[in-house]
Amino acid sequence: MTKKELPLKVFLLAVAGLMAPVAISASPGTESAIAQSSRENNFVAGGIVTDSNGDPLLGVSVLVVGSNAGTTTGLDGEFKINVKKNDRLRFSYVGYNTVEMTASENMKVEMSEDNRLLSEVIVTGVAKGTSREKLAFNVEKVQNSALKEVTGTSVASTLAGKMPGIKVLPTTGNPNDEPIIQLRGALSFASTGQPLIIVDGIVTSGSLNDINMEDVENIEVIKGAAAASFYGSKAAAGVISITTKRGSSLENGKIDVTFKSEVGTSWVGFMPERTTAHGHVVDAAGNITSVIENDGIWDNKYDMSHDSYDDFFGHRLFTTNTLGISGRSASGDVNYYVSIQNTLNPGVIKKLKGVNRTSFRSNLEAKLSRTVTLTTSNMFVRKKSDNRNINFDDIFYADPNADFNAPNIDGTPYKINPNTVSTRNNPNPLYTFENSRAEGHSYRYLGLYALRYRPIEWLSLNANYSLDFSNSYSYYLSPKGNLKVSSPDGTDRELGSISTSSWNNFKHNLEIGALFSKSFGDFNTTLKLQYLYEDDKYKSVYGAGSKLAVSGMDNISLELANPETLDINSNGNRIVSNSYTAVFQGDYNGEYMLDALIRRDGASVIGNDDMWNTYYRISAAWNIAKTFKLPYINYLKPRVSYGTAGILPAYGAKYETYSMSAGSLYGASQMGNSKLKAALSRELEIGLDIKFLDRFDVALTYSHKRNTDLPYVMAVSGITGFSYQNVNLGEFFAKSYEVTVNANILNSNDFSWNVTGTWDRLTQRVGDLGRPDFQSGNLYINSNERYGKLYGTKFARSLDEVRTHKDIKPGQTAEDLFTINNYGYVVRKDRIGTTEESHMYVLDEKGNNKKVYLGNMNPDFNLNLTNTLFWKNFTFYFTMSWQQGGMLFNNTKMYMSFAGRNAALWDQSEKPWAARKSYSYTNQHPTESFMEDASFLKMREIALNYHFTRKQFQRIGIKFIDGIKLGVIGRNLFTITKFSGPDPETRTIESGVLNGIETPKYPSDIRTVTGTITIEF
Amino acid sequence: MKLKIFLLSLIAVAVSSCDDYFSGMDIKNEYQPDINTVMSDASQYPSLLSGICSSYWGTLLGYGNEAIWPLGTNSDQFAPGAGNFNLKTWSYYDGMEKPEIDNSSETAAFPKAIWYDFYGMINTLKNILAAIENGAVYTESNEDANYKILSNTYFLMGCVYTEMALMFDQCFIITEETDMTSITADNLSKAAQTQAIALDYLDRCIKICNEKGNFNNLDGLFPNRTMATGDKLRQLASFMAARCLAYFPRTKEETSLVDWNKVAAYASDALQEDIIATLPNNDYGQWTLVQNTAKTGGWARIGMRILSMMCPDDPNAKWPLPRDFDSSSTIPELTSPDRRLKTDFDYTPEQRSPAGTSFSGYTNYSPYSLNRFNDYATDGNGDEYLYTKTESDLIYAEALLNTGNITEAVRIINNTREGRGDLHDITASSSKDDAMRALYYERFVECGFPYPATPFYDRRRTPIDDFQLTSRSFRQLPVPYYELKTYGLESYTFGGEADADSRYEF
Repeated sequence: MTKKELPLKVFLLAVAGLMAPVAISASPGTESAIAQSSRENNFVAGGIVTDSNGDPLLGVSVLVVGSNAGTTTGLDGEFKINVKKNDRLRFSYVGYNTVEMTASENMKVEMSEDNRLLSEVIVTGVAKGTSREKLAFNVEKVQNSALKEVTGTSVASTLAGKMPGIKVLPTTGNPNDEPIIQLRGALSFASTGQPLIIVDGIVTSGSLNDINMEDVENIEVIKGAAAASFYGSKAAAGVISITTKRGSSLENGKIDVTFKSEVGTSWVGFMPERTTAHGHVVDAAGNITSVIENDGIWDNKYDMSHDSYDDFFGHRLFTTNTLGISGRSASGDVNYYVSIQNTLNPGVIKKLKGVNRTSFRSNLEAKLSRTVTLTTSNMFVRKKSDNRNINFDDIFYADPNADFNAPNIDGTPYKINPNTVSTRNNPNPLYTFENSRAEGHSYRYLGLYALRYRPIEWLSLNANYSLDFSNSYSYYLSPKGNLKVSSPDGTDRELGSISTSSWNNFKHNLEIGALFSKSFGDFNTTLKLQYLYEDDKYKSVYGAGSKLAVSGMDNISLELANPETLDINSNGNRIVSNSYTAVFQGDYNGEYMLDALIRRDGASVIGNDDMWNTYYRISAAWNIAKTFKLPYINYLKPRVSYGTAGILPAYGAKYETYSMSAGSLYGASQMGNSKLKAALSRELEIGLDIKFLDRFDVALTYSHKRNTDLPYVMAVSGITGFSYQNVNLGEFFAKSYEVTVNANILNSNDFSWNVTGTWDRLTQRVGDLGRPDFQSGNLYINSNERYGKLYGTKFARSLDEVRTHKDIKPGQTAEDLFTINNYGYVVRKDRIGTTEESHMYVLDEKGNNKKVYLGNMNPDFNLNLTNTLFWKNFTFYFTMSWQQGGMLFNNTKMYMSFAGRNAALWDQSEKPWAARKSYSYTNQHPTESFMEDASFLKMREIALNYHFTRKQFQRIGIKFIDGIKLGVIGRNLFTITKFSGPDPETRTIESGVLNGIETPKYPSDIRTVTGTITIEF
Repeated sequence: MKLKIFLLSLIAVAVSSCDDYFSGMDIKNEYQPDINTVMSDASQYPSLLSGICSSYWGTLLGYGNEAIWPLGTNSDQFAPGAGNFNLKTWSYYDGMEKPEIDNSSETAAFPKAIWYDFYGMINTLKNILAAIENGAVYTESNEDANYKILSNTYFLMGCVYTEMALMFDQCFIITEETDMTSITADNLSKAAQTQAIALDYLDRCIKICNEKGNFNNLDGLFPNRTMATGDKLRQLASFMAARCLAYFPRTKEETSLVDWNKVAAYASDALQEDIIATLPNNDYGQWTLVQNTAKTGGWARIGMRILSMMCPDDPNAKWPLPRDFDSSSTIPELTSPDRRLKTDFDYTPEQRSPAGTSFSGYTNYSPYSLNRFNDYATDGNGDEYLYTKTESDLIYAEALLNTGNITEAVRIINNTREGRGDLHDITASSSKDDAMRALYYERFVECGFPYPATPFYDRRRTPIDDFQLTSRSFRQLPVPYYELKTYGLESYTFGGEADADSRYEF
């Protein structure tokens, strides 16, 4: 409220206040009785209303329950009202839970924020900010408590476990890397379309990791075309929309300064178990030799007084410091938010520095005149990352007791060949780190400049221009003279190699729009018309060479490399798109809602024959509880929405191309496709929103997607001279059921308990592929079958499974050759109990290893639970996730098994002698041995915070501090799972397909405990 | 008024600075040209030919071509330690029943990858020839130098069709006159027709070289200036034509039908130097099977069949290795009258199987690594071989043997047999059969390692039964399944029971 509005409000209140005596005086017959009663029972109740931080709340509605009498709180949160003895007062305020208390003279009313679903205002995918109550489709919003109590380390990690229908799948644990985000499943059987990222209304092209979570006011998520049509040809995989702070909710003339520091430690949560036994000959001196014992049994124990994992992984210091200032001018015409944040996330590997990111933000909203408003958002991020990396085989394959810190023969640190029995010449990873340089430096500017002109009450015109500019530079140097693992004495040394790369991305958008918003009686209407131009340019150069001129790590110039070894290339692309959108929203008294949208989209990456597509949405909802009085039901809204959205082809997919390299034109590679289209997603979404008992919000949503014209790289006839062509084919279905329950279980002055539970179940099905069935690794993609089926080889347990074995000669039977061993597996009779004993595989009719169905990679369901408990000034918060089902191929375990390192398959040392098997038996790798159930229960976030309020500081004479919050935060503190790999949630993309595999890599199960302090003044 | 002027100025500045800042949707691909862009400028043809030379080299030697490496193990020249590229599928051991090629997968790289590579080259070459036929003129110093483009294009067209004729039983023949839109299944031609078109292109190259003399050829073709002059180009074309004729037979019976006089005519004017890329050279450095038989850590080895041939009196030189060969021990160092056992190969028992535990190739692994043709293997520096002068000479020697000139043939054979192997068992008075056996022995030891297809061609055509491909080995490649499917044809294949031959069960 501005100062100008205050006299008006005071006047209205005065008028309202006068009405009661006027009304009373109009009833002369009762005057004396009332006067008598008033004298006995009437008194002036009063007090102060504050938020949970102790800050006074202005404009809170105070009503006497059961009457029309009421007032509002003033600037200092104070109120006074005439009441009768035992009257109860109801305090209500937008965004806060309603409080009822018995009236008294010195009331202290503390109101907590209302985190429930239906009170939220949604701005994504709609013509203008709309209350969820009036929404005819599903838009998720990360709750304020989640953002406040455990500010995520990134947008992606913040989203994990917060809403149904979203999967955030880490690809690695490297702080440089970003996870895969899936909204209501995959877009296609052949690609992993990622959601469209919008920041303050800007359709961006850069990394989500660049967003400083302390700047984030809220995050909204659209999961499918039924809501995403507003974003047209880029939105079939959903939309993540981030709104940053800009001080718009502050009182006039107020400036808030917040300093937050978070310091803690990160460490690796789970490492795959290695065998601590080996099968090598130990010589007289007790040294392990490279010779394998005749029995080939891994039952000789390593001296495990030293663990190589400990040399490599460690606790690392994680810090984040943020200074934010938000303010509002005395006139209320200007509000702003500026911040600076530095985050150092070194990861969990010793010697690596991880990522050091500094971000700056400056947001402003200013009324230039009565009708013109200027809005700007500016973000600048500088990021420095340590890109030194190793092949993680070097740690997974290493001797379990290898001493990575031992010196080399020449006395330099980190012995290049730390392993005695490791078979693959894996170098010491610490030597690699110590003797290489690799850094990345990136800079990003994201800016929005928006002018809004509102000449009349019902019309608003806007012009927005935005920029998203990124620049990155990186280099890698492996210097000349490094030791070779094959020559640890230094006789033969590395010749050195160097590479450097640089790229920049410039995206700018221009949006021009008009918003018509007018009520006709109870009929509220909004119409938005919008034109959007988007232009995204990318350019890169890369150079690499080897055989360096000098040793040492001081020089990172490409000039070091022998010119004959230089490999230089450059690349670039530009995507231009235009769109015209009209969206209509209407409701009748908040009872019946209707939404209709049409968008015409054109993009340069679509085939030249027709670059334009039309997308649309039609949605409707009915608040039944407004039409019929329903007991206990505050709100009951069935809704239905049907919409379309697309996914653009990748840049270059439509062109006919000739490949070039090193000064030569090589030949045709890609056949052009002038008919290439954007993939199309059609989604029907049906839902029911219920609010009952004033405490529970429930959202039930069913969605059915049909995606067609899917992007696919198709081989073409070889004789054309081309290898492949990008085409559209196939259909893909995704059906999801989602439930969100938000309950304000308890709410009193001192204690409040909010619980949010979400559940979802997703089934995906391949429709008509439009091409023969195919495989991607273990994933079989078959027409008209459920998506996610994993197949692989399996050990035989019955003689019936090996009857086609090629060793069975005419006249012989399987029984003549094979038998079942003491583990229940089929083996050759003549080898049982020998060092040559080995499993037989399940065979097909031709005697080849049969690929059998081993499970589906998609989970049966996901369940998330978020709890927030307030007790006095304490807040206890946690988010847990449970994934039930979903098979995952444990590639790390398989690779370790290849190298004789996996404990479960190789270690025989604890078994009775008769049960021990030689490596002919243990060194076998059917798919089934590594296909594991990836069900898990994960504690994603847990926090305990204590809030010292302004009042507490005032009591001790400190007036300039508004509050201090102290807290302890744990992230990913435990995972309960039977999956024996590093993380049941991680996934790997191979050839663009998420195919149910994890691979040996930087482990992603990283645990963090931090302490935070937030000072507000 | 001031405001209006300000706004007008702002608009003027904005409009004048908008050139290229805003764009229409017709975006040109500036980093990968299309065919029209490439072919419209004749001055780009040398670059295209340079690219084809590099592609040809990479196709024959590169690791990406899973069609070539199996030829090296199918012919027992190499033995794989690990299962990479399914090489173990084709490596023979005692009692093995070799399978047929699985030609039922549209994505399997074998034999699809090489088919695509060859047609990629053919189409570019065809486009160059068609452009010149339509009037494109390549000039040097303002003079028509189309003969350079034509001679090199014909040569490369001949090279590619030679290899296709040697490998595949059928091909689509695409020339500068082919209408690509009218191709049907009926255009599939037998290998003999492919051979004919290959020879035709090579003859056209030789003709131009003879007419133009020893001209300075284009830059950037085969490495080490091995195509630098008209004479060198002619010799290469002659060598290729000799290969095309001599290596074409699929069986020893077909070998007897070869026109050896014609082979002799070509081979007499063939290579005078080895065709080598001296690395480092980014365009020619390939990760080859040869490189992977390097002394340290290599997972492919010298086939035991070669070692058995070279060590006839050593009982440890076993081939085929028994299936139950003791996996925890290895074959002791062998003895051979041939000096090359010690110079060309390294005994590396420390890499015995299972060297670690993932190498389960003990049934066909050998303890010998290659110590020749792989000096680039360690650090990417040195010579990478494709064809050698010895190979060219031995084709000529074989033609001489088959046309009655044993004396000259033996002289050529002994260049390496005596000169490098210190073997003195073949003389001018030796029988043709003995000389032929010695010739193939030399071919396996001297020519079988650089390009893994060469020993495959030799083993299927050799008249020496002991040297023949083992029973059930495929002797040529089928048209890949994907191509057959595209043209509505049934899948077929080679190898397995269809190629069983009791004469070659070892």
